[in-house]
This record gives sequence, C-alpha cells and structure tokens, in this order.
Amino acid sequence: MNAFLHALPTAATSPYAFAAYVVLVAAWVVTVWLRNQPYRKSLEIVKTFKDDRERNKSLAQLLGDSPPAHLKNDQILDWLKIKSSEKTRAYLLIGVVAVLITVTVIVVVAMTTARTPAAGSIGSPLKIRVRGAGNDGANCLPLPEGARIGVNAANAAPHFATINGCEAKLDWPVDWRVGQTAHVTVENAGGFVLDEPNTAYTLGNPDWEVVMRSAPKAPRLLVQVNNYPPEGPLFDQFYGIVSSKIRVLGDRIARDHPACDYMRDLRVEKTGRVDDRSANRTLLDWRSTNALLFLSGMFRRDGTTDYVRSTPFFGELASKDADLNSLQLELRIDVSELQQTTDSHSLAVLYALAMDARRLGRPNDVVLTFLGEAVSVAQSIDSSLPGVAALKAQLRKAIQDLGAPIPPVL
Amino acid sequence: MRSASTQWRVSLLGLLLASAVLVNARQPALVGLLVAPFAGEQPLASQTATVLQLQTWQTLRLAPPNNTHHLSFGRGIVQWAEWAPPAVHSEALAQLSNTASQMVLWGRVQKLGNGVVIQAYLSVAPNSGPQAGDMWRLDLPELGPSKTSIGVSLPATFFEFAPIVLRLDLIPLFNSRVGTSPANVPVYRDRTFRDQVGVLGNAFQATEQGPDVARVKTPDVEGWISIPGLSTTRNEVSDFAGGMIRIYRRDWGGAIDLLQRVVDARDQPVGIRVSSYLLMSAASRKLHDQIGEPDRSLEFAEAAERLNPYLRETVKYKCMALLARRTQPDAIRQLDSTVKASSYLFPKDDPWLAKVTAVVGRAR
Repeated sequence: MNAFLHALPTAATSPYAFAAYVVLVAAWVVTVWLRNQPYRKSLEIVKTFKDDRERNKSLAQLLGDSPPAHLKNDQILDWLKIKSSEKTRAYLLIGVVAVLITVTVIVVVAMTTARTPAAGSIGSPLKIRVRGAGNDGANCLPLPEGARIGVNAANAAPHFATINGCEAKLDWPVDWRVGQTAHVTVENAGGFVLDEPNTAYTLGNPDWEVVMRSAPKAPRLLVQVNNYPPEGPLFDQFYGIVSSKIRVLGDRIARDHPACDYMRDLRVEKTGRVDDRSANRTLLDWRSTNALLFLSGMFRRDGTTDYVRSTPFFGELASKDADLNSLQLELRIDVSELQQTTDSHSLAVLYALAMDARRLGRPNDVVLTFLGEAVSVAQSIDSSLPGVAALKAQLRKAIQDLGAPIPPVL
Repeated sequence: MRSASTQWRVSLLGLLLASAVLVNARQPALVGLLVAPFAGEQPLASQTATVLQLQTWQTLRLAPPNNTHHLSFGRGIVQWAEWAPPAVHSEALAQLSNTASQMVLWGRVQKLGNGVVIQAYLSVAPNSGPQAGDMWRLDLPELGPSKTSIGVSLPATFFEFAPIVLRLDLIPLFNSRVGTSPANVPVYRDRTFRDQVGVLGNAFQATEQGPDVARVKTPDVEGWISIPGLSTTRNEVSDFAGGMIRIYRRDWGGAIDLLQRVVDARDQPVGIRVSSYLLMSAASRKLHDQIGEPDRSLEFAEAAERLNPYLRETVKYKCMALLARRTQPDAIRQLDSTVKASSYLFPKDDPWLAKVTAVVGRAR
C-alpha cells in the first residue's frame, strides 16, 4: 500500500493521466453544452412562435417529443424543465463515467509504477558490488561472463543487472520506494552462490554490497594468471600460448569424456597484476575465488636466452604431505622447448582437476580420466627440468591413492 | 563467421589424378577433410594452411599400388576454406556444416621469442562415419539375440599435435612458391622452380607425385608445384590426417602405413601416438578380414597400453582385439585378466565391460 501511495504523485503526472484529464474535461464541456443548448433553443422557439401548433411542431423537431396541446407559455417552460432534467441525468452519467475512467487510469499507472521503477528517470543508477564472503573474502570475485544479479522488491517484477568485473549497475532511480527492502538472486555465476540468500537490501541506498561464496559442490574451473615481470611482449606470447593450451585441453576432455563435460566451463583469466600477496592472503583468495589454480612467476634472461619461472598455486588441492605450492617450474623460452613449457602447465592443471574431482566425491573413473590424461602429458616432459620431478611424483601418488597400479612409464 | 563473398573449393585426388572444382553444395558420398584457415600472422598462417592442405592431399589414393586384390576406396577430398579461423574445437566443427567433409584441420601460427611455431589440431565430427560406434564391431552370437554385438568408436574426436617449429629460412621460399590458398599456388615449367607458367587455380590434375613436389595439369597450364616441408623434421600432421581419411575410406592398409609414421615420431604427444596405435589395431583386424593379412590388432593395442595404461579406450581396443580372436587358445584367459586388471578405469556397472565379462563367463 505504501508503494502505491508513493507512486500516486508520479502516476497523476504521467502522460497517461494527462490524456485522461483531457478526456474528462472534454466530456464535461460536452455534457454541459448538450444539457443547456436544447433549453436555450426551446426558449427561443417559445418566444418566436405565437401559434401553438407551429410552436409544438418546432419543439417536437428539437426535442424528439411533442409537448401536450393547449399549454400556455409558462406551462411549456415547466414542461421544458422536466424534459431537460431527464436528459441531464443521461449527460451526468457520461460525465461520471469520464471521471471513473480518469481515476482508473491514474490507479493503473500508480500500480504499474509501484511495480516497475522508471529506468534512469531520476538520480544515478543503483550500484551493486560483489565480494567474497568472510572478513578475508576477496574484494572482487572473478565471476564468469554472463553472470547477473536479480533484484526482487515486494510486488514488483524482478530486475536484472549483468555483473561486469565485480560490480553491477541497475538502471533505475535510487529513490524508488525509499526505505523499503528488496532481495537479490544470482544467475550464471559459475560455482558461486549468495552467502546469505535472505539478506534484505534497503531501497534508497545507492550502493549495495552483495556477498557471495563458492558452492561446496561446485567444481573449480578457473585458472588465474598473474602478470609475470617484466611484463611485455614475452609475457603476452607466454600467456597466449599457455591459456590457449589450457582452453583446448578443457574442450578436448569435455568432448571425449561425457562424465567430464563440466570441463567446457574451464576458464583462463589474466588478473592484470603482479602477484605480491602473502602466502596467507593467496590461500584466502584461492578459497574465496573458487579458483582451480593460480599461476604466478617471472622471466629472467641469461645471456641471450630467456627463461620463465612459473609457480602454480594449488591451494588446498595440493597434497598435505608435499610442499607443492612452493614448486617452481623453470623453462626455457624457446620454440624448440615450447612443448615442455605448455605440457608442464597442462600437467599442473590436470593434476589439480583430478584432485578437485576427488574433493567433489566424483567416481574414481572420473578422477582417473584426468590422471590418465596427465600420464600421457607427463611423458613428454623432461623430469630433469626444475619442478617437473616433484609434479610427476605427486601424479604417481595420486594414482596410487586410488588403488591403481603405479605406471612404469612415469 | 562466413562473409557473403566466402567461397570454398574442393580438391579431389585419385591415383595420380587430381582435380579441383568450385563447389557450393554438400557431397555426402565423399570422405573429406576441411583445412580451415589458420590463425596468426598473415600471410604466414595462410601459407602454412596451404602447405598442410597440399601435403594431406598428397596422401589420398584411389587404390593401393599393385592392386592385386582389386580394392577401390572411392573418392576422398581435401577442401579448404576462406572463413574466419576457428579458435576452439566447437568452432572448428561448426565449419563442417554444408561441406562434404567429416573432419577439420585447424590451428594457429604463433611467435615465441625469436621463433615461430605452428600448432595444429584435428577435429572429427561426432556421429560421422566410424565415430557412430562402428569403428570396429564384432558379433557376439554366444550372448543371445539381445546382445549380439559389441563395438568401439574412434579413440578420440579431437587431436592436438606437437608444435611444429617453422624453419625461418623457408619464409622467403613460402613467399615465392606457396600461395595463400591452393588456388594461387604458382606452377613452374620444371623442377628448378625458376620459370612460373601459371597458378593451380580451381581445377587441376596430378600426373606425378614426389616428396615435396607434384607434377600437375590444369586446363590452362602443365608443370610442377613445390610443397616445401614446414620444419627440419618431418611433420606428422598430414600423415595422421591422411591416415584418418584412409580409415574413413576403409583403406586399412594405407591407414596403417601412414599412422606407423606417427607412432614412430617420438616427439608427437603420447595422446596422438596412442590414438594412432588404436586406429592401427582396428585397421589391422579389418585388413585381416578383408584380404587375409596377418592380424596385428593385439600387438598394436598392447603398444598403446604400454604408452599409457590408464586410458579406457585403450582397454576397450585391447578387449576388441582379444574378442576377435577368442576362438584361439589363451585368448579368453587374456581377456579375463585384462578385464580384471583394468576394471577400475570403468564406471561401476559399465554395460560395455559387462558384455565382455559375459563373454568370458560364457566361454568357461
């Protein structure tokens, strides 16, 4: 009801209401005119004609009803008043209907306005910021493209805003239904859900903060790549090749293994910044961003040869008895070593995917699909390269943990 | 995305016979490979795609040499397109619609440091040809009428090759002798490749094939084309793609020949070599059934298993090889031990494995 009363002034000044006012005024003008015009003409007829028969004939033509014969002029005037009052009731009915139509229009517009805020009509758009849950949650969650927030106010149609980066903008006036509350929903958010779905957000507040967390059973499908200093063309080439390799890997596994079709959503994203976080902060971000793997590192030059030192961070997917999160892969940046570079990163991704499948409680054959692919990839990588032997050792252990025989090829 | 001016052409090659025609309609009777445009720096990316297209084209054949068994494999085609380069497998497969091809070769040319590498992929359309579950099928009459056969499809539908390191010294040669599409490949008077007499155009015949060269005849000109290698070592992309075309055309012996080169290439990814061995395994049994050649299907499947024992498809192909010879002594025992040793790779109550187990149980 409050929303309706708030909307009444808006409805009363809406274009629809103005159209109804015009109709109302026109109806009343016509009504008054139609009521008075025959009476005035009748008076003229009474004054003009001396012969009763001619007078009655003219009055019959005007009013559609002939007055009784032999009436005197003052009696004729009484008869005319009686006749006019009959017509007046009909005209008043038209006027009342016009009033009702106008009121109905205003009510309908008010109800519609109460349900739907006018986009961008007043003030700035509503800003909704999305962040990770908990005191240590990430300030900005890496939601997939197409993620959106729905805002549901009471008795109003839901409104949706696409989340770009970690912010959504809802194009409606912030002063719509000031003081009332709304709830939010999320769609296409990958593995993220609302931390507290029943939170009420106050209308009139121009900035909302929506807190989200990863769903416990959502697969981790994001590989975040931090900038490798010194940034430049070499990093762009490295990122292009490694990200392409990981995307193709996800696409291929999803195609050829129906039980792993969720791999279609495997994403690789650049953070756009060099990783200077503490180990603790990195772990907290890994938890709240639902990432599979963080890749950080640097390039170094030795003579004319460039090397990349890459550190994959597996978070809690790393085996507890191995210091996998401090593992450093060191690879030569050279076309002849390209396969070593891409395969060593693919191996890290496949191992993380297998460990995540285990965390999710997927059947052993699904976990072994990833480990089997990893065994194929691992054979192309030289174990003498820094970091590779440790990664292969974890792969062997993961296979053994499933009760499968240790591969002689590793 | 295809532009309005997009056109695609098809080249057909028979035994010492090649032709190319401009087409715009589906030709379902053909087995074909589409070479999509490669992404990356131009004109190098287009020249790379042209070389791979012509190299694969060279692997097509109508029948084996010395065709004592009077085999005929029908017509195979290698098409090329002038559309936007695909970036992922699904985009590559989308380019197959309204073409005569069942598979697409695509990729990208990338700079890294001071060099250039070519990354090539082969995507095979699902539910086309052998992929529809009939790569290899065996009758199992002992299981009764409701379970009369068992089969496997292709070992995979998406193949990623080892990166090819481009020979930088070849770039001037590419610019002079390789067109940005097969239609504008220069044709020379002789094998010195000095005197250009025309271009391949849209219709041509091959009258002689050689390593890195082909003698061609077009309506306007006759001469030689150069098909330079991309790297210092042989690249197996065209061998594998040609082998896959031969599988689709039921040229089993020819497929084994080409795929043998792939498994011998130690720098190819294990995944590619495993798939090659498994295709060879099926092809070998088919060749045995076709013309009585020795059955090496188990040998090839076991070679794949040695490369990676954790792949379900490898176990399936090994079981197929053993099922095909189940009347031989010891085959059922081997089948039983294979199933027991590898069942952990399969989902619980997997119907395919249950059928194999039933065969073992029936034989005992």
